[in-house]
Amino acid sequence: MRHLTLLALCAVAVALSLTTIDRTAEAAGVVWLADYNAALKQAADENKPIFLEFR
Amino acid sequence: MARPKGKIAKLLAQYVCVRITDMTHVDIGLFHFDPNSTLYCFVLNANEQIYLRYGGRDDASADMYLNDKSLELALERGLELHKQRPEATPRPAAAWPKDIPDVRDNVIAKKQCVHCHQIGHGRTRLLQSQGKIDKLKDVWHYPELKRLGIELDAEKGTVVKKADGAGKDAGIKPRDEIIKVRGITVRSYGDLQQAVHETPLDAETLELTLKRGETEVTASIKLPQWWRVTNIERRSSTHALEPFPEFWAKPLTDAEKRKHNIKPGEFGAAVTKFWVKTNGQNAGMQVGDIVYEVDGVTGAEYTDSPTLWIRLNCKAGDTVEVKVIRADKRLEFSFKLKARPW
Repeated sequence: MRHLTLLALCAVAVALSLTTIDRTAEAAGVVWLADYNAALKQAADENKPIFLEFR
Repeated sequence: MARPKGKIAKLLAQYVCVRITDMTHVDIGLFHFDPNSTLYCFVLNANEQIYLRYGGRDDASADMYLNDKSLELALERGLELHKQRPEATPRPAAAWPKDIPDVRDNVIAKKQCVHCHQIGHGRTRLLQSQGKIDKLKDVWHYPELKRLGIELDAEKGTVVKKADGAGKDAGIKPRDEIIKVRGITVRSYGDLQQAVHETPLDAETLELTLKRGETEVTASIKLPQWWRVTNIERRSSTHALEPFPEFWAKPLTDAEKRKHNIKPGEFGAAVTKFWVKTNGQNAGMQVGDIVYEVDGVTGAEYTDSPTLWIRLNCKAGDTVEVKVIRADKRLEFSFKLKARPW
């Protein structure tokens, strides 16, 4: 039971930290898409240039 | 750039950012870049008009030109260009990773992600299988301006930090900003490296346009014979060259060479591994042997690496005579070269 509680607490901690990372990225206004065609459409809709990163 | 912050984050927020880790569906005709880069970026618009590139490397470092200042500069230029909407250049012919047989059969067919370096590797294999590769001309990809005596300021895009040798002879000065290569506008180190790479193989001069203060000047650099030479052994496209030398080796430094009475510029490389039972190992070579001669040759203008010399000058089925230093003894081995290690 103690192990299960510990596991649950760890899962919550991980989820919270991921949310924090997402919030940090959103706060900076930087969202990374993974779909090139979606990026083209968004750039056309918002009249923004695209920063395309290959890695 | 996993978690951009500060000024870079503010600049990126004005872009639509997209990250591609699988090249399978990428038009590599449009997005043509050094496939041996760890990271390569493009700034473009929704019509796929490329404003500029951000990326590139040299032999000395994989990330020397990738720094906060140069990225800020590229992002600021990208935003300016998006406002100005410069005239688009003709779109290059489309090309796809599936057009390269090695990539199609060994990567895409196995439902694996296509990585940049596999494209370089596959291109070499294709040219080689078609008998279209001139190994002493076609292999020197993405040459370095350093070879022409021009050192750039890594934080300032295409601004010259030092000019020496052929570059100085052509009149190039520190603080000059290179704005065109062979008439092609360059706005970043990535643009510059791509334009230099695309210089015709038979070119005798390289024409640059420079911004010097408020004026534009031109310079014509006389190209020495081996100006394209770089350390291509770090490239997977070079690893695809046949034959396999039958051993892997690490070049010695000049100081290490002197200890073995080998002159700088001459062959001198320590055998590091065999991995599989190679013909070199079967003939008696050992890890740690210092290779200093192959087929009576002790060096070449374009390389001091005996393994690269074998790849460029021999073919599968040839027998080579290799001389090595082991402790204080000089030994000689003879073995046949295979196309590939396995």
